[in-house]
Amino acid sequence: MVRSALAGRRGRTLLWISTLLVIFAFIATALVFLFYQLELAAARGAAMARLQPITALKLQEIDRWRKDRHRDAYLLSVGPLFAETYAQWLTTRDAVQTERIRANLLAANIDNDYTNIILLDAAENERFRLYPERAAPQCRGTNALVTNALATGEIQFGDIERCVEGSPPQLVIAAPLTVAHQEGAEQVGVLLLYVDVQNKFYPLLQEWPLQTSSAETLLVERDGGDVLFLNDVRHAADTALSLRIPLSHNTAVPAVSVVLGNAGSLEGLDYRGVAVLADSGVVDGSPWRIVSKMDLAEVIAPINRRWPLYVGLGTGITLLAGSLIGLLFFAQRHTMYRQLYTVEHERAAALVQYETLLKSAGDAILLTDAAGVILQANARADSIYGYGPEHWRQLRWIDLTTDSTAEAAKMVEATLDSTGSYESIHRRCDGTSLPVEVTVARIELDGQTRTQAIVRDTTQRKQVERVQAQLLDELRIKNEELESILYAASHDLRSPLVNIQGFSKWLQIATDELRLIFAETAIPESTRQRMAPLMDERIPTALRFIQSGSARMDTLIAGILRLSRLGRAEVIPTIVDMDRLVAAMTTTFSYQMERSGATIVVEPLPSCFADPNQLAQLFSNLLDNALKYRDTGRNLLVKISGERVGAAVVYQVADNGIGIPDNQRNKIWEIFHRVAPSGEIAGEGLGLAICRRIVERNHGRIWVESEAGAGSRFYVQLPASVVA
Amino acid sequence: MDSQLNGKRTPVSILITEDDDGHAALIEWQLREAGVDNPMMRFCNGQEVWNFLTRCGSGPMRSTEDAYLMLLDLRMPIMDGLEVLRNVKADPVLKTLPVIMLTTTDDPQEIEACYRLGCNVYITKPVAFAQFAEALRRLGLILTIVQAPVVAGAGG
Repeated sequence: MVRSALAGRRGRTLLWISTLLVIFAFIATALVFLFYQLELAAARGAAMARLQPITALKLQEIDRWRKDRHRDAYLLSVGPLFAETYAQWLTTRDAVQTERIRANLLAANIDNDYTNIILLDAAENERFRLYPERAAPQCRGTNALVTNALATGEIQFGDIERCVEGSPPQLVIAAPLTVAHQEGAEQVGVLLLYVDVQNKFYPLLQEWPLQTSSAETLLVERDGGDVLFLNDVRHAADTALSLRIPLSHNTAVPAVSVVLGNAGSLEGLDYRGVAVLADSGVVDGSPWRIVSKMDLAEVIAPINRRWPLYVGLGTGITLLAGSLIGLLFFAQRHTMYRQLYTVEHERAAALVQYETLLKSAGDAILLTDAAGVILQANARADSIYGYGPEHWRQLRWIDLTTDSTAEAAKMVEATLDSTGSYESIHRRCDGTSLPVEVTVARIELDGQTRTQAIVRDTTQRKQVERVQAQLLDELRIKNEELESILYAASHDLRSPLVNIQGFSKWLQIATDELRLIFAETAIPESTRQRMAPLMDERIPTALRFIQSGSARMDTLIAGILRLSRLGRAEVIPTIVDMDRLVAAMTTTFSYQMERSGATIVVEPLPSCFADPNQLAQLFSNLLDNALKYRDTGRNLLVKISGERVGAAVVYQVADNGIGIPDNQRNKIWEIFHRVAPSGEIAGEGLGLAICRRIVERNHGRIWVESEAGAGSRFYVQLPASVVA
Repeated sequence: MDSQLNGKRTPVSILITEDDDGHAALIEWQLREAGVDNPMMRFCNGQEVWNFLTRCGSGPMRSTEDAYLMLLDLRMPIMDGLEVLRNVKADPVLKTLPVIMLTTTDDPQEIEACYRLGCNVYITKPVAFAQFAEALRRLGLILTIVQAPVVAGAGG
């Protein structure tokens, strides 16, 4: 069971671990992806930051270029010398002037910015061409430019155009040539500058200050509903003035976006549909827009090239997490196995203990199911009930009982609190009855109710109890008998004594009477001599001994009587205030004390639990003894003290009297024992016997420590009162 | 010591109930010594005196004309003093009879039992002669003072 549970646990753990690993892998991937995205964003930002100045630079260059071109036109157009020379030349056709005009124009085209320069007259007819061998086609817009220039007197900047299919794109600037007269200005013609877009303008755009594989600058403008690409794009051939994208196509195309008025940075798709980063701007004073763009692929290429880093990072994090989990798992599994080992070990030990217990138990241990069928019985059950091990399976609890109804009731009552015990009479296999004490416990085993019964064979105990009760009874009877014998004996013993004493007294009276008669009467001398010793010595001596003997006998009997009476007296224990009791007692002794020069010291005494009257008698006897057996050579000092010792109180009565010789220490408690020789100190020899009897009847103890000639210390131990 | 009844003085008879002959003799001697000259009757146990008082049996019988006083020993064979006392005090006629318990023990329990049953005086028989004599002398004094009523009815 344990193994399968273990396997189950292991399976669950593996599932857990793999789930955790997957989760960690996800987290790691997400983290790496996030990192990658951040890198991309950073790269984009950096690329954009490079594109923006480039756009600005290009705008600046275009602007300067256009201004240069404008200046060229302006210098020729407004310069009075050239216009006047041209006006004169128109009429004269002077060769010198022709050359001067040519020189002027060549000077203007010193940088070969123009593919051609043409001069028109006011009627818009061509009159001079700088490079007659070169074609200078007049495009759609050119005539309008010329007309506008003549009409407004302003320099007209044309657009990039391609007039003839296959020819390079061109841009024409038309500048009016004005001659001032007294009566006003006169337009004498128009100067047409054919700008070399291909060689002098486009390279401006194409020049890229950075090493790049995809970046380019586009020049676009709106042409009707389209975006017209004015220059050749990098990634397609012959696009200048031929590539168009409808404005409706996609605003994500930067060229479209800028033409629609949204200049600035943008990420979108270029004319190829390739993702690009772009920045756009407007060329002042023209319909032109420029777009600086770079393929996103190029921007992110360096980051993508770092893929092993990301994969490594992700894998690393996952592996790290995995190994951490693994480590934890192994640590936990180690702990678990250790716990399992401990549990298993303890279980095994408990099992051994249990089996040993079952085997060696002094009581029968039975296990029954709810219906009372016996499921298990130990060896002791066999010996108690006399069944063989094979019998138990067929037995039910009621088969063991003698009164099954009563037994069932007892069992229900005992198991009210789940466990309890009761006494009953069971039946052995052979039918003999068996007094038992049953301890039952209701236990749940695998969801089923079982009753465990521990059955103790009380045959022996019952016998012992019976014998004990019998002995106690006998003892009590004997004690009572003894008391009554003692009482009756002492009672009856006194009766003859009354006679002995009474009649001896009468005898004495009679003898005295006789002696008187004897003295008065005349009696022969010989008779008188014979009677005199009888009358004067023998009879009085005999009477004296009879009387003293009977007096002694009376004392002894009275002693026995008192002792027996003490035995019969009821003990009424209560909490005794010993300070008060001893104080009252010492007061009654004060006269005797004073007379004998004795001092008594009483320390504060703990209270005890005893019969106060008997205690007064006890301490009175002890004090009496101290007085009786004082050392006449010194003043008597009695000290009464006490202390609590656990649940008891020990009082001490110490004196500096004659003490008790070692060989008498045990005899002093005996009845009629007297320390001093008879007659020396008056006493019944009963005081300490009574003391011991009192202490015993009050559940205490009395003992003595003494040194002959130095004094005695009597100790009285009694139950302490619960309070104090 | 007389009892006045019907204007006539009759001497009070002393009933000595004592199983011990010696004691009985000592009591009588001592009473006589103390000057008590009343008639005295001696009974050897409780049954005898009870028969006398209840006028049963074959012995002497109580006279309804006379006044009596009883000295009663406690410990006696056949019927002890305590039982006699109990019977006497339980009897509506006899309960006026003065009873003096005279015994060897000074056991407080027994003394109390006697007084509870209604004995009039309790005297311990002391062994010492002087004490005994003194006790009986006092008893004699009492007996000279006590006016014992005549016990009239049948009794028993």
